[in-house]
Amino acid sequence: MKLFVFAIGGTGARVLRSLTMLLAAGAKVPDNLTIVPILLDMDMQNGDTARALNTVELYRTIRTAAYPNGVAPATQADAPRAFFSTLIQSLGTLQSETTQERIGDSFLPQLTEHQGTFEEFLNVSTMDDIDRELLKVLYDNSAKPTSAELKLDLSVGFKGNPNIGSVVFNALEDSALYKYFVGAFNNETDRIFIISSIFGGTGSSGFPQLVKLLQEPSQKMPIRNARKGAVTVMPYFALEENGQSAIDQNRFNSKTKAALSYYQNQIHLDSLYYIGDKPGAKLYANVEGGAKQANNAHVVELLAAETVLDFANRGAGEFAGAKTFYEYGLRRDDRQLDFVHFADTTYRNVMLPLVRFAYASKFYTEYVPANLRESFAKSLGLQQQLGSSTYFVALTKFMGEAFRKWLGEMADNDRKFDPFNFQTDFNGMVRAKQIEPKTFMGFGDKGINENFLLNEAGDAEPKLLAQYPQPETRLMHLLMTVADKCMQKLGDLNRQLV
Amino acid sequence: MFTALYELLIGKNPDPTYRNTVFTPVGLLTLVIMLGLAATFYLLLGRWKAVFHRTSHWVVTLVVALVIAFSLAVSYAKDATGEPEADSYMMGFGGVNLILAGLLFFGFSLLFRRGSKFARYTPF
Amino acid sequence: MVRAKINWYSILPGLFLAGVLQSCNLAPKEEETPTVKADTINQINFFLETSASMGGYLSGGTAFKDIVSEFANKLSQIEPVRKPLAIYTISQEAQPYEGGVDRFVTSLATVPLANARSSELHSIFKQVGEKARNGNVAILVSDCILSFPDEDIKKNPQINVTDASSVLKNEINRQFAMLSKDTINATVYAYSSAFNGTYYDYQNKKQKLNGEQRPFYIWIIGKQRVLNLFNQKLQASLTTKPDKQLSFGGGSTITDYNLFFTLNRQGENWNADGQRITNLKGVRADRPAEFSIGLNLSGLPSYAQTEAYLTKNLTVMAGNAGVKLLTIQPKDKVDAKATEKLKTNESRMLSESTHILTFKVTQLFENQTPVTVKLPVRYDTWYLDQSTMDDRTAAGREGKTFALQHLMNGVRDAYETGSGSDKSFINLTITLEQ
Repeated sequence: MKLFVFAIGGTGARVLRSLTMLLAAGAKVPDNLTIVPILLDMDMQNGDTARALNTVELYRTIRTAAYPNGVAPATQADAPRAFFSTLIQSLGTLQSETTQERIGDSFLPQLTEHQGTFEEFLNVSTMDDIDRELLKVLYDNSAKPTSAELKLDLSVGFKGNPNIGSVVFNALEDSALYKYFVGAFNNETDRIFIISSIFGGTGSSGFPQLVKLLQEPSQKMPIRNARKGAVTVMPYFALEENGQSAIDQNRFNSKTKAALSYYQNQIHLDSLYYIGDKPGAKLYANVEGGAKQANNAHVVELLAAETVLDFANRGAGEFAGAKTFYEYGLRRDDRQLDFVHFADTTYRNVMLPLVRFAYASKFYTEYVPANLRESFAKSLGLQQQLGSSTYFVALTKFMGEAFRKWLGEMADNDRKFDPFNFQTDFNGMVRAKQIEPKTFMGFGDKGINENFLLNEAGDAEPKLLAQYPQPETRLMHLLMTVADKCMQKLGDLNRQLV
Repeated sequence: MFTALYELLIGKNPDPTYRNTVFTPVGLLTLVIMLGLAATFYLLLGRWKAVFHRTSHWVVTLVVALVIAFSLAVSYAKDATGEPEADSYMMGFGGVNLILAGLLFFGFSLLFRRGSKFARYTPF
Repeated sequence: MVRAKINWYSILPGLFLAGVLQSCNLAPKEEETPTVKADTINQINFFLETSASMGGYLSGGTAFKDIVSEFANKLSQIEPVRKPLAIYTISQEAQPYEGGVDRFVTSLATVPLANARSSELHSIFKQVGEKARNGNVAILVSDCILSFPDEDIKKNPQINVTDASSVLKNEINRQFAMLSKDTINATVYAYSSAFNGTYYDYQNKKQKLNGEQRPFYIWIIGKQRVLNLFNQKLQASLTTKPDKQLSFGGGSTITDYNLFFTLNRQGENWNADGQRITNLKGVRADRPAEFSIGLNLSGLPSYAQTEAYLTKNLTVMAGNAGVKLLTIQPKDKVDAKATEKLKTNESRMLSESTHILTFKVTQLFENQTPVTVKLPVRYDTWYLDQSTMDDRTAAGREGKTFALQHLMNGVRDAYETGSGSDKSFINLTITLEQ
């Protein structure tokens, strides 16, 4: 099953980043799932988008090398999925019936070839005077060169102005990207999911336009019949005051209200997920898009990403026909979250895989480089390749930098989600539960120490050797095996709120 | 086989005791001990726990092996001939057995390390 | 993290193993050689014949008394013996002498002991032989004159001459055959002493001798193993050596020897290997191989140990090879410089040997050929010269004993039964291989 995920705007990109992390960690998804992320943004330089793209690209590099024939190991009953098991494909790599125009391999296909201001996009200069005057009524055309709506440089997005975005997204139907998508969507079991924010510019304007396109009566049957879902992220952060910015956060809530009433009547999807949060004390920098718009990850994005998985996990029979609305709730409204705050499904499907992945990442990025002389490392060729081979480097970047940074940002945000402490040893990594050594006079169970890791890795690697002669694949399985052993040491976590 | 090997390297001793009761048992014992040491290092300890598997450990084992080989040869020869003190021939014999033991241990190391978990790349 | 630290506790077993190997004896120990094994003698039984014919030895100052008392003395000092020396006098029945050695020796000097009725020698040997069993050693001092009982002589005065070679010899033979069967051997020492008293000739006619030198004999009878040792010790301590000596039984044939590997060695390539010499390929007349073997001849009668006897009687038979016996050396004649250089193994071999034979191999035509070294048994024949069949005149019996040859032949036959005339003192084989 292919799931086409449209991630619209900066929020879409941030949720996609979290989604990639969850998929890397082996969060619960159907075995045969392929995710086709399509980032929709005018703002090609957006920092959030760039970060999401990097993450997905790293994911793709790692997965290609780790599972050379494209097939990740099937999930055993009750066991978590393999790391990086879900295939992430770009739209451009799919077969499309209408292949008149290639759209490239990027996860961020070009939305429009237009470059310049909104005014130029509308070709205002060629308009009749009457039309021009009407436009001036609808859009702010004040002398302020940066914030006047008609003077907006569209290459940095719509800056929280859906009234501009909706006009631009109206042209989506004619874009090469959309035509390619229509040509590539041929299977009625494939699904569509849309991630957008309700309060921004790009997301809030792109989402209704996209949905409208997808449910047009003239739309081809597979697309019309396909199960569709969407997550709408409602405001969850506050911006710093910035008089120079065109983005006005005071209009976030009013825009949200207006949009919600519109969605209720005009948007017809099988599942519609709503998530939002009361903005925390941390203020986001108010930047009008571009490279500087790189907002820290937030637990809301992680949970929004989970909705993608939830949608994918639902069996075909679970869609009753009528559209279903979902909202996310925590077990308790605390400003600082730990595993215990999440419902059992989230805990099981998402959080435990994250713990497992965290162990693997700590093992791979901290233990392994320091123990390259051990047999398992030599057998994997890590001594020579760890710092040079594309795969190993990508994995180091993903586990050591991207994953850590993502977690670090969530830990630093408000609401705070800080489940791991990577500054300490393995025994203390999971904040929710310190692994206590059970030793007597220096003998006995020391929890997860170097000897434990060496023994487990040394034991597992030769066993994997026959089955996975490729070092890349074997390393991935080794990481999972070692992580599983660490999980066994960790044991069950507390699920009782106190 | 061992007799020919030893005599090739240290020359013949007129005392038939060497040919009759020293060379072959010492060679075989050395072989068996080296086999045992290598098997212990790689297949026993090397599969049990990662406690004694590094190159430094291997070197220690090798030194022990060499000490055993040398003293085995000398003491065996002393015993068999009844000499109270080791003579130069015995020292030469010990030296050759030491070299033989080194080669055997190295050879068995290459052979057995595949069967090990933690010492598959020991000594290199 | 790089672990340069070594787990010392893991090394300890290895070091321990090395230590054990160093200290324990892995090599099989050579078996202790039995040649000098000390067999404890159970008891020494000393018999002095005291029939009337012995009286002349005991009267006056005679060598007999000196020798017998020295014998008794030395016997009482031989170690190790479990029970003290037992002394008997014997004419017809053995009588324990209760007085102990000292009194016995004194009484020899003063009190005449010999006054009993004449006895038959074979019956004496029978009783003495009984006391030579079970690890005992029996000593008999006798004049060894074979004689029929008095009554027979009265009926037929010539009976001692006519029937000694048959009846009397057979009686003696019968007694020793029983001993021989049980590997009980005998050694006889011959002495002579002044004789002051009545001499009974073969017709039992009395003659008064005054200081005439008469031979007498001391028999030592015992288990072969015990006897060799006993003889060695006794002879070492006696100041008066016997005039003559003869051993019966003499032990089994010597087949064992030590092959030296450096002593008197010539030739580089050959290997000594037990009783074989291998790798003799390159041997030529101008490139000979010389080797030595060590033999322990201490079990042989002393005459058979002499260099002269060996040189005369040793035969060397090589198969298809040129082998020559170069020298026969008693151990103490071996060059001291050569023996000093010997290693422990060869020193031990040398110490186990009494004689060193050195051979020279100049040719070897076959892959393998045996070299046989033999020393045929040649009993000493002095007793023939010391035997007379007419002792009625001083000239006829001068230094001789009546019918000694029949007595000795009777004993000798008992020990030669079954082994035939090809019996050897030495019969050993050295195999030469190319």
